[in-house]
Amino acid sequence: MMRIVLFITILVSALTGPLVFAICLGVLYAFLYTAYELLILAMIVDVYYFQGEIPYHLLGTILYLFVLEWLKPRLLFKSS
Amino acid sequence: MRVNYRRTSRNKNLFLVAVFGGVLLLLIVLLPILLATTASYVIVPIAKTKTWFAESTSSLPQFLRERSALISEIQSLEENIASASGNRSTIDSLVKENEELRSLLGYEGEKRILAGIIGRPDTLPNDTLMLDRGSQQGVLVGAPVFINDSTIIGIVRFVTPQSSLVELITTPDFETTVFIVGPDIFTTAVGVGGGQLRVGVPQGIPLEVGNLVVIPSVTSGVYGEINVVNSVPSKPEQYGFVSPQIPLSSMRLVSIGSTPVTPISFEEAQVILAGQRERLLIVPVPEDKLIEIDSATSTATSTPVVERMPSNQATTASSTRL
Repeated sequence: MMRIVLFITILVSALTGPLVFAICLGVLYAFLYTAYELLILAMIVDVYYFQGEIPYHLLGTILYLFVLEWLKPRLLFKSS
Repeated sequence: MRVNYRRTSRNKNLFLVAVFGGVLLLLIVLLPILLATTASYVIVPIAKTKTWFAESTSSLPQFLRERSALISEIQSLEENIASASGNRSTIDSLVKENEELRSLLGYEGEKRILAGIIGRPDTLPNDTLMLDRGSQQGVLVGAPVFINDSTIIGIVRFVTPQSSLVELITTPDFETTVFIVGPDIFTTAVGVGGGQLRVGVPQGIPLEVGNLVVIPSVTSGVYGEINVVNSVPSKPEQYGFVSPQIPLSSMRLVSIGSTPVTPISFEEAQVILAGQRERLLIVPVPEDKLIEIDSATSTATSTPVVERMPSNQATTASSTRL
């Protein structure tokens, strides 16, 4: 339930602003969950607002999730 | 054992991110229009709801907008004063909306589509507007967008069934050929973002604040007037900055041309421009208010009419057609 509420909040704030708020929540969301949904959100922004251009948002999100998934076990190990 | 499990799980997550991301990238490349149309079903309702809350004169959004202001006022004002303030705000916004609609509907040229703005540059990338009319209402890619009967502000860049995106001519590096009335020159205007257009001309050309800027590629293409001139005598060039008369942040309605803008030749642009200049200073005065002489009648018959008018009316009537 928390996951759904958080994602809807990110979705709405990403599309209507403030964008900084959406990015902060997105960072938190990706730390808490395996955030495949963020890929869809990034794709929505790219296909609607930046049609015909390089999908920077999607590429950035893929890179971010890659780094985060690589980083997560190390952070867990340190904390434990 | 646990470490192995974590490693397997991590590898699985990395694999899923790569596969899912790759599939989405592939879809963007193969089916961009379909995806954008689908995305519009998510984006447009959210944008419309936000606009409704931000600008509607309905009771609920009006109440929510003014709630914080009312809370602070309650400490010093009685309830009836707060209520009167709400009524005044409603009347003001309705009067403004009425004026915008009159301005947009008063145009008597090609058929246009009235559209509401549901997304502005403060929340959208670059200088882009999101409108609540799309292909279902007849909006076409490349159609010009106006803020009153003649001020063009951008071109429709992308259309979905229920919404459209407008690229403003003030988008950074967006180039437009313009004609500046006054020095009477053609030049290229470049968008600099933030609703501003910049024209650069060599020193010596009499560029002045108030010079009208016309876009000759569009039949009714007056953009605005130069409001700032940046001229340093030691530099070989000077710049004029142009912005529309209505700031982007206060626009609520626009009209969209029914036909896309097509490239035209210089000769065609000059013909359009000639028509533009003839119409620039003409105000559509109703028949019963307009006092003028017929060009075929003699001066003797017209003189008493002017003499009977109050001085202020005579001035207005004579200045409407120059």
